[in-house]
Amino acid sequence: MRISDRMRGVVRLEIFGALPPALLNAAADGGIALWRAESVDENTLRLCCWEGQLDALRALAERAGCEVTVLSRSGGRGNLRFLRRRAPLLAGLLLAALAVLASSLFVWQIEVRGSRNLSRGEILRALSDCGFAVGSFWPGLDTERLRSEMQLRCPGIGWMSVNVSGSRAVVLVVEREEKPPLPGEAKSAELVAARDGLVRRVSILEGRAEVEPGQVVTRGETLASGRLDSLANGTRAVRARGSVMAETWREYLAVRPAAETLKTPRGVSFSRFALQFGKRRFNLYFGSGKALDGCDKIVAEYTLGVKGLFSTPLRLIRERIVPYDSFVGSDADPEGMAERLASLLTLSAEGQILESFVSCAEARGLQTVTLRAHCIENIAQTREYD
Amino acid sequence: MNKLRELPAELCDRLELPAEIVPGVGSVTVSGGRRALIEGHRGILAFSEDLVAVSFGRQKLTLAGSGLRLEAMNASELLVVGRIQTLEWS
Repeated sequence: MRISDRMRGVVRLEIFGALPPALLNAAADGGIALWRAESVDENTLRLCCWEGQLDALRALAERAGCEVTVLSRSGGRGNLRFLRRRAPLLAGLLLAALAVLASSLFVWQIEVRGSRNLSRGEILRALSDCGFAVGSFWPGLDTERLRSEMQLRCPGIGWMSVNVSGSRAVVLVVEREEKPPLPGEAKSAELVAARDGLVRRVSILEGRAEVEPGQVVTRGETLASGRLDSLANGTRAVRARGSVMAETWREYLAVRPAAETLKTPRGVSFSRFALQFGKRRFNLYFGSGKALDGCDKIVAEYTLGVKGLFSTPLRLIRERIVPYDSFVGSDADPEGMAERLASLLTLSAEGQILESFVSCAEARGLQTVTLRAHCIENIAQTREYD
Repeated sequence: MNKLRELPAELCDRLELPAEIVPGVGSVTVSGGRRALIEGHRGILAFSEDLVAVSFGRQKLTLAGSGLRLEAMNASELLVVGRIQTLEWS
């Protein structure tokens, strides 16, 4: 049953008489809504009507020579009677409704969207310094002033907006885009080797090549110069561009103790709860000062409210305590370590790995995994002139 | 006299107008043999689990079936729910 129907009250009736359809017609003409009418026998009908129209229906039934018996009632006055007998419950419901209404005027949750370089913490701290934090009275919020202050505190913010719905504030941040250098404004530069290698192909788009295929270069060595000889005025400086493909040899090393302290669950885990109102926390357990040695603590927070609509300052915190035993052992996984090392090996789009080797050794209580890779890649790196 | 009574309906047919615009003409919409919406009725003549008879003034509609019940009703509309087997205009 819908809430509106429950508030209005619905009565299920039995009508007994010589001609029950005559009563149905009279009720329909009299604007009395009837529904779910079922015929029990020739002279008996069962149907539903609004509680408020019951008296009018009784009067019509009397005129039509029918008897009306109430079979059941739901909602309406029944609800009031139920609440009248439970005054504290009614008071509690009213108080809760008032508390929700009042709490919806304050911000209890702040969500930050759109930031890439600035962290959520940085933005929240800056907002707090500007006077906007959890517990702020949002109808008094001046978005324009807040935006200006935030731009002063965080120059990286290009534009900002705060949307509040219920008690949830969504801070939309658009970060300032750095202007790309125009060709005429770019500083002159040369190309240098990013790592040691054996040059295989040189392709210089601007500048003068200083190396040839087959030549061995070391890290930092100039590959293409940005200073060109000019017939008109001696030397002309440009920003060297291009690529130098070279064979390179990379080596990655991972070292970890061969034996280490490991954990295994022990006994039965248990949960304990706390309530947090705004920034104040109320533990619903004793012994909060005791150190939990030999236990893992897994914390989950549940905010009271309707997700996406509004939230209240009340949070239920559940801490699951899982005892464990520690022992010295080894969970050596050389393949896993090699995979993780391989994930560090990132090459540019045109680069590729020609060969790779993994070796594993254990000595002096240390386990060493080495990944060696033979690659071909672009080693050209731009270095601006002073 | 009968011809005079039939005149509005006859005119509607000739002018290809919807029949519902003639006073006293009802309409029935049956969906899937389980629901019948009756519009423009003038009252219920009989009602049982197997039969619902509805007046349209000069005409009468009889719905026969099983487990019939009136899901909702007001002064001009009726919603009959149940297994509807036959419909008869008389």
